[in-house]
Amino acid sequence: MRKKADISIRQKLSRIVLVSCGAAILLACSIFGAYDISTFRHSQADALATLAEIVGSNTTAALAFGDAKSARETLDSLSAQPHIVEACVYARNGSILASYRRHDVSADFFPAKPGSDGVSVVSKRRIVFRQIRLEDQAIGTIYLEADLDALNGRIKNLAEVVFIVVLATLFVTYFVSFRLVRAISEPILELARTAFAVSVNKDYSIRATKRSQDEVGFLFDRFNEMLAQIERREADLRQSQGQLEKRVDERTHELQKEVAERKQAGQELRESEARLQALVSSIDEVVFEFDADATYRNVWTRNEELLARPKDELIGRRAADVVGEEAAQSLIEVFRRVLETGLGESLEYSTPVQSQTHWFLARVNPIESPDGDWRTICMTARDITDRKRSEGELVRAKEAAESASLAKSEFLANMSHEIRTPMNGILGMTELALDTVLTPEQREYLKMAKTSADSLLALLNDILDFSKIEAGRLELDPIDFGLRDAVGATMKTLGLRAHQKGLELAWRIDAGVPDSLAGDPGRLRQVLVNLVGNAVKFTEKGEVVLQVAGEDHASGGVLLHFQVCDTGIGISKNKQDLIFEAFTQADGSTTRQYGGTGLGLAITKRLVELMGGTIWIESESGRGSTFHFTARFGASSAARLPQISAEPDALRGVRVLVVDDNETNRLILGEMLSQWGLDPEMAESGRAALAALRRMRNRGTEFALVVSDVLMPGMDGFDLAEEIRKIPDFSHLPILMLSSSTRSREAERCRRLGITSYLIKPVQPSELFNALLTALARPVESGSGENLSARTTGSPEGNRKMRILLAEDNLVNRTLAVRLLEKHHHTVLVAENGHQVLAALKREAIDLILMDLQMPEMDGLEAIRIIREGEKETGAHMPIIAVTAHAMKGDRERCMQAGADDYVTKPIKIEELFASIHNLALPSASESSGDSRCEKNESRSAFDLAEALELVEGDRDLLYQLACLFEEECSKLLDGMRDAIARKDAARFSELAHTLKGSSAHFGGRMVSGAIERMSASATAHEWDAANDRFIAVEQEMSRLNAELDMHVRKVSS
Amino acid sequence: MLAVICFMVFVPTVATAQNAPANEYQVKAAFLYNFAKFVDWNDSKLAAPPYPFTICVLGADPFGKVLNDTLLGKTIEEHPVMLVRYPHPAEISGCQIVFISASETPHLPEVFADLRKHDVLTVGDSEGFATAGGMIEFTMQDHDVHFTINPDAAARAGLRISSKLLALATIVHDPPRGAGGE
Repeated sequence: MRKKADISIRQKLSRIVLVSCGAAILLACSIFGAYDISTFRHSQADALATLAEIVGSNTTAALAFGDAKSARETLDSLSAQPHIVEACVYARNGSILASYRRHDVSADFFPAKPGSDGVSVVSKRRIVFRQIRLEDQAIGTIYLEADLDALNGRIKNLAEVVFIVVLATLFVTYFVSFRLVRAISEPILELARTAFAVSVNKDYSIRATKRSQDEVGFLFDRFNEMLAQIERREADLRQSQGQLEKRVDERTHELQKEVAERKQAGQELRESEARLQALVSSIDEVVFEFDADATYRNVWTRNEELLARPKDELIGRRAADVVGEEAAQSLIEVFRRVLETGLGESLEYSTPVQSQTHWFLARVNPIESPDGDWRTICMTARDITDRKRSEGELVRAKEAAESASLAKSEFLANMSHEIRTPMNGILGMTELALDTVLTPEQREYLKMAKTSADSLLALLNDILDFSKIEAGRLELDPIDFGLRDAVGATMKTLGLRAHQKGLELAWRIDAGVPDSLAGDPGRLRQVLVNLVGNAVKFTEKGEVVLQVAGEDHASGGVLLHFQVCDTGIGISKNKQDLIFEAFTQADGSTTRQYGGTGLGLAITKRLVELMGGTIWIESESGRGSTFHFTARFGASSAARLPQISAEPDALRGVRVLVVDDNETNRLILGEMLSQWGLDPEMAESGRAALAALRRMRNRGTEFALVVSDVLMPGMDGFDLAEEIRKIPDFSHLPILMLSSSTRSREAERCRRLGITSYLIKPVQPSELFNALLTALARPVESGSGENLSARTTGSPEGNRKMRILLAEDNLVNRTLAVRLLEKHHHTVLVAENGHQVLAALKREAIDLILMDLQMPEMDGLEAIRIIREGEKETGAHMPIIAVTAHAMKGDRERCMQAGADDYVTKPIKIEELFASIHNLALPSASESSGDSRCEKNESRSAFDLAEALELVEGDRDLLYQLACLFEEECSKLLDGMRDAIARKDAARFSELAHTLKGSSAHFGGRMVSGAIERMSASATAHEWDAANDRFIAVEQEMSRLNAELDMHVRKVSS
Repeated sequence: MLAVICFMVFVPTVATAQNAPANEYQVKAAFLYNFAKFVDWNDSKLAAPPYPFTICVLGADPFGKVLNDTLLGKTIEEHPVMLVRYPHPAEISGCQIVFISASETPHLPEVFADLRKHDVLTVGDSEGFATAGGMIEFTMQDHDVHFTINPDAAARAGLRISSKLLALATIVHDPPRGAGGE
């Protein structure tokens, strides 16, 4: 049987035409037939429904009156409709009232009950139910049943017609298509024959003959063109074939040569590769090549035992399978980074090798093909297991050493605490005992006991310091500080001892030495105390002088040169090298004579070295000695403290008479006064002074001020003052008295003689400066019973009674502290641990807490923390002084961190404690007792701290900032005002005065504001002389206010 | 003298005479109602709803409660059906159908004369009622109720009886002139 594809085009076309025609006709007839039958069926159904309607309507009366006979007659009329097979009328209750059946039907098949209205087809019969209604009321139903003979007959007829039509159509189509197809197939066959001829004969010159202009004609044209092209190409081909053969020969020759070369290069490459492999394999490191996803690409190693698995197993494996998922992840992470950045990375990792953990130090580098096709990772890993092991041992050894060192330090701190606690008891109790009524003998013994205890404490401190130095644990605690204040304060304490021995103690600092420095003032003080203390100790008569000079101002810091010069026993040349050694004094015998541990200078030397300096001595036995040392300090970052060398106009050119028997003192005082612009004249005795005064008066000029020493041979300072007051012209001459001691008798005389100020030597420049300003500001009212108070270091806490809560667990210490405080009229409440402190705070009104840090149950630090925590809510602030036996560095920080306001160490020094209490709780007390000037009590200080604090709601930091700003602003304003006076510019002057008044009001300067107002009024009235006088007064008030702010605010806060 | 009036408007239907076992007067009551449906009541004889369709019984009432039950809740062309009983023909007014009881047989001519002005459908069950000038007469044949219609009488009153009804009835005509009440 032939496949469809093999049938000729002619036949195919014939069949296509026939099939499509047949299908079209058939489809058309079918649709037409279906439509016809459907329409017929619908018309039949409608006819039946109409018939039912008519017959039903005719039976309404019969139904209404139940007349079956009449109904039957009506139904019988259906015999005119041959297709009706059966019919019946149902009464309203469903019973059959009347029925009809066609003559050829033998039995009734009425449905038992009437159905719902509508036509339907059931078992080849069309049936219809129709309700019969009378006046909208259903009174029965009619039922008709018709056969489908009419429909069937119509279908049959249709089928016959369709059959005939299709047959006829096909017949006609066949003949027509036969003719048409010929016209298409003939040219194609012609073309096929031509092509056959060409292919058989290989004769490309034959051409097909075109017969028409249609698509086939076009095909003929293209076929002929193609033949023409082939013919041309054939010719070309034949021509080029000769050339090609030649070129193939040449190329073959070249290729043979190239193959030979490649072979040789491959050989060389293999050799090179082998050498490289051998090289890589020979190094100690294991070299891996990884893909970016940490798959081993290649591994080289000298020692395969360093691999987690044999080399062959590794290659192509993922790292996760070898070192575990987690390690592999971190590797991939590193690889990613390395590939991204192109920079190598190092990493350490451990991996189990031969069931032992090995540590490797690996270097990861990216490898990139020169053309950038591929990128892999090279990882070289070195086995560092041994190094790791020794590192671990080192760390362990270091930890052991550190813990041992720590234990030693702890032991040291604890020891010092353990010893200090009983020492505290001994010292305190001895002091208390000395206050009781004693026989001279007992007093003598107790004094000796106290001296011994003091020495023991000093020794203990020295030992502690020394051990710290030995351990290299002594560290400087650098802060910003004022050099002159620091040195002055130290010298003041040492002055007491010197004056007791009748020695002059003096100090001066070169004017060029900056005052604001960064360093450890505590350690500087220790050095000075040691050196000056020694000098005082070993000098029987004469003087001890401290001089400070600047040496080197390089690199922001300053190297200071300190000299301590005495007129004591001196040290022989051969001992001079030894004295700085520990436990050595110049002479064994001196130890017995003067006491001391022999550690002082050794410690001093170390401290000086720590401060970046050196220490040395110049001495000659029997002719005194001079200790030199240098120390390096940083420049202070804090705002510069007021420079006294500012030369206020008030002091410029003022003539001052200085009376002192000691030459050094005279020199120092002279220098200071000259610096401030005064014009000093020196007198070495009372008589010389009086002579100078008289001489000056005769010349017509006057001294504005006399500064006199109290202790002078022959005529002392008070005698001189008395003599001066006797001269009528000098009854109001201001006199400044410099004394070595404070005795109430002196204070009394001071008052009587109208002494303006009374200063304790050695005098601090700032003190003297303030005293000068005060003395020159007001004329002296002699003998008017001025209340004079002298500065003492004794009892600065004034008379205010306080309720102090003492937290201390040690019975002895507690008793001591209670007695000390009660002696100063304070009420003391006692707590033995932190819990009791907190409880007491809730119950009692407390002014201040003294808190021992080491207590059972709840220690001091904890208690302080809780108190401060509570205060965060209330906003209150309880002054707390921490008391500790710890002398180690860091204690102070811990106390302050916990929130203590101040810190004193055991054994408690009464002065220190009260100074601290004074600073914290009684700032107002300092004004009455801490002021050395002779002035009226009612002459109010320029500055009211309590009021100032009130204005800033107790915020000391804020007050401090305000004070610093004020200082700056004040000097600018005053300059401006001075300028305004010179130019007689009233408006400008008033403006500045107003600003000054506003600024000073922050510090409770009521009195100042009055003065400013008066001054401003004078200026406005153009009374320039009066204004100038009042301006000078205001200027003085301002410098006083600034000085006091320095004392109470700037210094306290900084 | 008061008419006994029963309104049966918008009351749920109860069992009718047709459904109950055939009691003669039950059937007659149902027929009485059905007659109304096969007569053409034009507007001149029956005002628009809700004006009631009134059925009257004249004379002794043979129906009793049956007629009440039958007519209860019924309507004719949306007119509610009302039943009124009259003892005397002179009182009749506003009726559409009058059932003339057998008790009135002795003076039928007077009754018809009285009703002439009302154009009502007269129904009776006395023998010879239709011949005497009544419009529809109930007759009994083998215990079944049939009826005879005198179309002439109806035509006199201007009433047109449906051919469907006529097809069911025995038709009589007025006797030749001189014999009837005319």
